[in-house]
Amino acid sequence: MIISRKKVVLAAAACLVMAPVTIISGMGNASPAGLTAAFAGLPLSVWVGLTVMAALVICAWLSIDDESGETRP
Amino acid sequence: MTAIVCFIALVIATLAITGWAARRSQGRSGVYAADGALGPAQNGFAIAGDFLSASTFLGTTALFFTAGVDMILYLAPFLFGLCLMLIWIVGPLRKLGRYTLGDVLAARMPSRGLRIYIGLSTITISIAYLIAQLVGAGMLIAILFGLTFEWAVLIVGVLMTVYVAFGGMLAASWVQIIKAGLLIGTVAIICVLSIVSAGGLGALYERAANVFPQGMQLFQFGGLDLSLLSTASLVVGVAAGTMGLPHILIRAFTVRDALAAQRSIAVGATLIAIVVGLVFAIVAPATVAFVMGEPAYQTASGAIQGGTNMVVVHLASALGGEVLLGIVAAVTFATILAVVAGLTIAVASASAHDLYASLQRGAVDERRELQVFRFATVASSAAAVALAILFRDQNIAVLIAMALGLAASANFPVLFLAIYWKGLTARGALIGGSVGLVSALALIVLGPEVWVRALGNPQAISPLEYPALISAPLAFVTAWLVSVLDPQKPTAEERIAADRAARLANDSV
Repeated sequence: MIISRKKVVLAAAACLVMAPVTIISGMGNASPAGLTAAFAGLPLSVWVGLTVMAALVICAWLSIDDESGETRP
Repeated sequence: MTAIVCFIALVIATLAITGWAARRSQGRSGVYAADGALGPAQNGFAIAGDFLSASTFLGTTALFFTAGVDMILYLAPFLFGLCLMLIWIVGPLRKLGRYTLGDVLAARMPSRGLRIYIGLSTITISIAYLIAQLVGAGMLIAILFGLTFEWAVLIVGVLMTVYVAFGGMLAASWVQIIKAGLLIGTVAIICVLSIVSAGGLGALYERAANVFPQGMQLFQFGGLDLSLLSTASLVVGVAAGTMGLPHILIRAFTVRDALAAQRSIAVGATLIAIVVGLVFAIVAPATVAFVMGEPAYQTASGAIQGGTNMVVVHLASALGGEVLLGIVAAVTFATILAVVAGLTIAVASASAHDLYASLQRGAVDERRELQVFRFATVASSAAAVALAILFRDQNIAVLIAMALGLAASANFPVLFLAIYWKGLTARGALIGGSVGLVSALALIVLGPEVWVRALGNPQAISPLEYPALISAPLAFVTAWLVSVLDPQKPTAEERIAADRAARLANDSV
């Protein structure tokens, strides 16, 4: 199996970004009540959701390789 | 009235695009892949158009309306899957393939059986997704335009057939690009009007929490009350399924090279995140603030008129009257058309380029293959319309779970191993993919959606609604085991192809 280090690191980063929201939601009603508090006008849960999506987009842009390999015409 | 005018304008515009595209789409390259001539930004918009279905816009907002911020669990995993698709799949896919997923496997393992398998898998996944979209579309259009369900599905079916059969990938792409632009614009308008009407973003959240029965729990995770296992299966199922969705993957062939394919996925992911972020942070809370408890949008029994899927439509009416309502209805219709056109392309190209071409001896006549493509477009549209009418009362979630489960278990493991593992044999890929397919189907039938809700049993045998958490690893392990034990070792030609695939997959990193 040949997978470059960059691909492994970026995939791991994407998984780390996705993991907290999965775990917090999976805790059901035991999820931290503090997430309903507001920060800069937005509830913390909204911040969490927006941050997850922004981080995934950044991860996507970082994973672009300037690949010089051949492409089938 | 506005809705009808917008609808007619949309149909005329898209048919004009089809006419223009039909004159430019010549040969396999034009019909299947728009001659690879789309730019990364254009393809990024088309990917966003392909991806953002009516369920993203209306269904997840309805979920927020009832369960609060947990709706993010139905949005972020798609983005997560798209991100992993970009990291692992897209670059090598574009380098190895020309028009279909079958090309990618054929470049790595020249096996007719495997090509037929991936063709059938593509058709099954796309048809399941298509039926789900059509059932949802039929219900929605029936409500929005006052048509019967059958007429609504038939109109969508006829339009998607015309776009794909005459305009090929180019027409489908431009329908998707226009839809993405309209959707972004409409969501932005709704956001601005919501904030202005509420008197600020903070006031909007306050108003939403005040009318929500559980108050600030609207903004607390856990509203769906899912177990950790169910949440993980949902996230893994949607993300892995996204990585195997044929109608998204084949968009990599519509640009010049692998770099452009990667850039277009990144552009698509950015646009999707913008729309989804605005829906999550502003539009969805606004539906609670302006629609919940309003007598104008309730039936006599207190339910939402037309069901909770209509809350965005009611929000548009509350904020912008009949004009905004008409625009939202037309944009929703465009959304549906764009997604079903992409799915139809995937079915027709797999039928003609993978199945038909594989069953021919010797060189395949291009003209004949494209005739088969057009026939497959008409046949698949007719079959999807008939099945959508037949399954109109079925739960759409089952069909979506099936499509994503099959994509995650039958397509993704085979594609991933074919790209990255030189030891994969054709037999390993075929048996591994088949085990993934059968186990995914079995787990869906034994899961809560079919076993309990459809068949009426008291308890589900499998607790998972999305089977990929089990079926995808099973496919990986089976493909590995069969390949390792396969007495028929790769030929010299297959070893050279595998070396090339592995080299391309990690090029310049």
